[in-house]
Order: sequence, then structure tokens, then C-alpha cells
Amino acid sequence: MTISESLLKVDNIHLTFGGLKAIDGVSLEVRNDELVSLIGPNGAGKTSTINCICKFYDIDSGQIFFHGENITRLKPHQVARRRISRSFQNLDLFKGMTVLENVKLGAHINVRSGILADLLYYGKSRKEEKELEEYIVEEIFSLFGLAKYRNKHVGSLPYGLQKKIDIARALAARPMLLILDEPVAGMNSDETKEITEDIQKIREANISILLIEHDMDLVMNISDRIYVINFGENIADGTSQEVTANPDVIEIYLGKSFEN
Amino acid sequence: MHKNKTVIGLGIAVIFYLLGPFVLSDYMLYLVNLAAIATIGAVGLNILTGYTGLIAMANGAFIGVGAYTAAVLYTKLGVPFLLTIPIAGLMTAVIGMIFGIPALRLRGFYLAMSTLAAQILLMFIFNNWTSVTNGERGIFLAPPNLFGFSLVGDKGFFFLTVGIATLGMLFSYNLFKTDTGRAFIAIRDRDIAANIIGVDIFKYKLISFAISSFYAGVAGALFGFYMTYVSPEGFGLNVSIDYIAMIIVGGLGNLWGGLLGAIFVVILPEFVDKGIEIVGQFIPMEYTFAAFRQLVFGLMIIVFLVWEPKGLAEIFRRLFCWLKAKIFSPKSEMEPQV
Ligand SMILES: Nc1ncnc2c1ncn2[C@@H]1O[C@H](COP(=O)(O)OP(=O)(O)O)[C@@H](O)[C@H]1O
Ligand SMILES: [Mg+2]
Repeated sequence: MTISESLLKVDNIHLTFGGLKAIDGVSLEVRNDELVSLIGPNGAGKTSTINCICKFYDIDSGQIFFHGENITRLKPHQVARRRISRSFQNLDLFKGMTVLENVKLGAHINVRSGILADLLYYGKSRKEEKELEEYIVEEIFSLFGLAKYRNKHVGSLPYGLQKKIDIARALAARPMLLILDEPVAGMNSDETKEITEDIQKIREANISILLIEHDMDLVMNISDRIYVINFGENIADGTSQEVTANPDVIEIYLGKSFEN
Repeated sequence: MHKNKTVIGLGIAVIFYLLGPFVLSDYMLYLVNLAAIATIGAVGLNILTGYTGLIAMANGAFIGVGAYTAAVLYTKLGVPFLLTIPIAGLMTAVIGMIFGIPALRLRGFYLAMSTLAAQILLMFIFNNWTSVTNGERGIFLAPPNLFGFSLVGDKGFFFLTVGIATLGMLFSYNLFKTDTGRAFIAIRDRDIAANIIGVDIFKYKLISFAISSFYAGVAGALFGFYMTYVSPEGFGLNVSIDYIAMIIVGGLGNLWGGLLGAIFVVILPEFVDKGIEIVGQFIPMEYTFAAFRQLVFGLMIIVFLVWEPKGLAEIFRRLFCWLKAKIFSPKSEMEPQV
């Protein structure tokens, strides 16, 4: 096997908020079909890093490549069109829409029919809408067990379900890279197990994943490689064995849980 | 069950549509025509404000743009009547988009101010671009011909206004079944998440302005022909506020909201009028009708904002659920929704 092709490459990025250096030279890479985890203590800059990848924040310096293309200066919606999807640490669902509508909008970048067709609900628009619904019900709702909630408004559903809907929405875009920001945070062990299985199924669909997570069992079990950051800087990277053996990592981050 | 309901609803609508002009009095027809025209404007404004979350204070002036466009095309350039209506819509869509551009980066209060400026600027143009608008004197329109029949009076217009209002509601219904409409709602609910999902926020806000203004333009064209007269005072800030009242009272982001709000705002003055008549017998009323009307209006907006932010549409929905439960199955619960 040759070394897999590089999908996402984050090269020495910097980001400041006022005077605070939130990211101070983070680099990481996700290759095709890899599941890469990004870990670090609270406030380390993990969410900020993916906000930079999604162009929600403009970085001060550094570069970001996707499939060899420099995406550093793109707008958020243009990044999405490159097939990078993400879930949100603090749920960002559309409260005025049903579960089905939320997930449908996740596929926005794939919808081709124009505004006129939508106003008339004729031809392409109607056909596409039907196909989209079929795809979501068969491929995505079945994966997450969301079918029975399809016409519920998202605000009325429990937190665990909302988390799933968030991931389902990101997946509806048929991404090449799926970024998950703490997908099991705040979930009980059953829900965590379910989500872990879901993530594994997503992997089987040849979607690369960048995972941010505090649940170390989960991270160590399913990651191909792991990056550790602290105070906005890279501390270590490698396989789970390599990372857990790294003295710096043990000291600043894992120490606590290892001692217990 | 669902199919049946649709069929019954359609049946009632068609019967109303075909028989309306022959069973309703001229005065009732006049109210229906006004309500239908207002429905077009309100459904349009609801797309922008209710569904996309963009507050706009210029709907009155946008309606004016449509009215003037149609009037000028018809009287000065001899464009066929039916053609002037879509052109008025398109023209207003373009103007709406132009005034929408500065609004793209603004929200809430600042957006309201920016669209208020658009309202004032357009009114200034209506008043002062006299070579085109005739200024305060306005433009008179001869009754138009439709397929060889002279389209005069309340009966003649009924089919047109109610027909176009129905189409307007149908298009809006379609829109929110599909991707474009979902993008609008997503911008309203969570614009950052929408953007990261791939929604080009600026583009969709502009589209929302365009569609909403198109509705306003069509409403304006119909209004001008129906009144046979177009002048600046028909499109002032008070009209913009009337439309905001319609969608708040009717139901923000609800298809029926535009219709119910329009009906409410059109017939409310009639009730106020009657009210003044009755009360006036006992207490001498020094207030002018207009002032009293504004007062009732302002009160209604506050009442709805505080007690029923989902508007008449929600009240009617609950009423229907209650009736259904009473009539069909005493056990069935109210459906939770929207
Ligand atoms: N929008 C913001 N404004 C100011 N500071 C921020 C903002 N977002 C994050 N930060 C700060 O940047 C640092 C990194 O935060 P974050 O990326 O959320 O960390 P993590 O996801 O690793 O817990 C923290 O110190 C946080 O307080
Ligand atoms: Mg975080």
C-alpha cells in the first residue's frame, strides 16, 4: 500500500481574539479514509481550529489545503461546497424546522433546482425533493434511527436526539470529510455506544473523519491517528499507543485520567 | 383523510371563486378585492420578514413602485394591461434587491432603519420625479380591457385579485416545501450554521428581498388598476406599518398568516367605524376616524406580540383542532405543531 492521499492539510495556523492567542501554530493532516482525532484540554483551541477550517474564523497566518486546493481564503459556504461538513459542539439546529427539514437542508450543496422551479414545485424541483427525501429516509434516518421523529420540530426533542440530528444533517451533504465536535458530550453510556457505532458505520462509507472528543475510550478505540494540542499548540501526534506513551501528553492532559 | 380535507377545501374555494361575484354585494366585493390585494403584499412580506427574519419597513413604497411601474407602462407606453402586472413585479424585485444590498450586513434595528430610509427615498421619488409620476397629482388609469371585456368595478376585478392572491399563496407554499424556502428559514433561525452548511447568506437574503418585492410589485399594480388612480399617499410609511401589522397579527412565518392578517386589517376599519358610530351616540367623539384607527391598530399589534406571537393563524389552528375533536372523535388530542 502506498501512503494515502492527503485530504485536509492544516499548516501552521494562527488565530487571536483581541490579545488572546487561541491558536498559535497548529498543524494537522487528515488523509483519505482516515479517522483522525484532535484532543486537548478545555480551551486548548480545538473548536477554534475547526472553525478556522470551516472559515467561520479568518486565520491570521498559515494555510489550509483540501484535496491539494488552497482553501484558506474561501467563504464558509464555499468550503461546504468542497464537501467538508461538520457537527456543532453547541447544537446549532434550526428550531423552526422539523427533523426532516433540518436534515434536508444539510444536503443544500447538492440541490440543483433553482428558485423558479421551487416556486412552481414543478419538474426538477419536485423530482429532486422526492429523491432527497428518499435518500434521507433510507440512508440517514435508518442509520440514526430518526425515522419516527421525522416530522417533529427539533426544539421539542431531547438533547441526545438533537445531537444525532446534528450529525445526520452534516452527513446529508455526502461529505468527503466529516468533522465532529464532541459528538458524545453530555450523553449517557448507551447513547455514547450508539453514536460510536454510528461513527464506525460512517467510516465504512469511506468518509474521512476529524473527531474532537473528550471521551478517551472512544478516541483511543476508533482513531487511526491522534493529534494533541494545548494552549493552541501541537503537543504530539501519532497512533493511540504513541500518543499515550508520550510524556508531555501524560503530563498535560492524560495524567489525570491515568492516575484515576 | 388528508386527501378528503384537501378536496373539501378546494371545493369550497372553487365555489367561492365562481359564485362570489354573483352572491356578494358590491361593498363586500370591494372588501374582498382589497383583502386579496393586501394578501399578495402580506404573503410577500411574510417571506422576507416572517420566514427569512429580515425586518423591512419599505413594503408600502415597494407596492408603490409596482403601482407606478404598471401605471406608467399602461398609460404612457400603451403596454397591454395583463403584461404590466408581471413587469411591475419584476421591476419591484430589482428595486427591492437594490435596497436589499445595504441591508445584507444589517440586522434588527439597523435593518429596520435602513429599510425605513428606502421607504423615505422612494416616497421622495414618487413625489418629485414629476415627469414620470405626475407628483402629487398622481396618475389616472382608464379601466383596462381583459380579453375584450372592459374590466370595471368590483365584480370584474374579483377574479383577477382573488386568482392572483391564490397563486401567490400557492407559490409561497411550494417555496417552503423546497430547498430555497428551507434556506430562508435557516438564515432566520441560525445564520451561522446555515452558512457553514453551504447556504450563501447574501445570495439568499437578496433572493428573499427579490421574491418579497415581486409580490409587493404585483399587489401595487393591481391596486393601481383597481383604484384607477396612483398617487404617493397610497404608499406612505403608514402602509408599510399596516403590512407589518398584517403579518404580526396574522402569523409570522405562516402561510395563512398573510391571508388572515390581510383580511383582519382590511375589515378592522369597518368595525372601528361601526364602533365609533355606536359609541358616538352616547359620548361625543372628537377623535378623527384616522387617529382612532391607528390607535386600535397599535393596540392590536401589541396585544398579539404579547399574547399570541404566532398570530391569528395559531388561534384558528387551535380552533380547528378543538372543533375537530368535538365533532369527530372526543378522545383525539390537539396536534402539537410548528
Ligand atoms: N469567539 C471567541 N472570542 C474570544 N475568545 C474565544 C472565542 N472562541 C474561543 N475563544 C477562546 O479561545 C480559546 C480556545 O477555545 P476553543 O477553541 O473553544 O477550545 P476547545 O474547543 O479546545 O475547548 C479559549 O481560551 C477560548 O476562551
Ligand atoms: Mg470546543
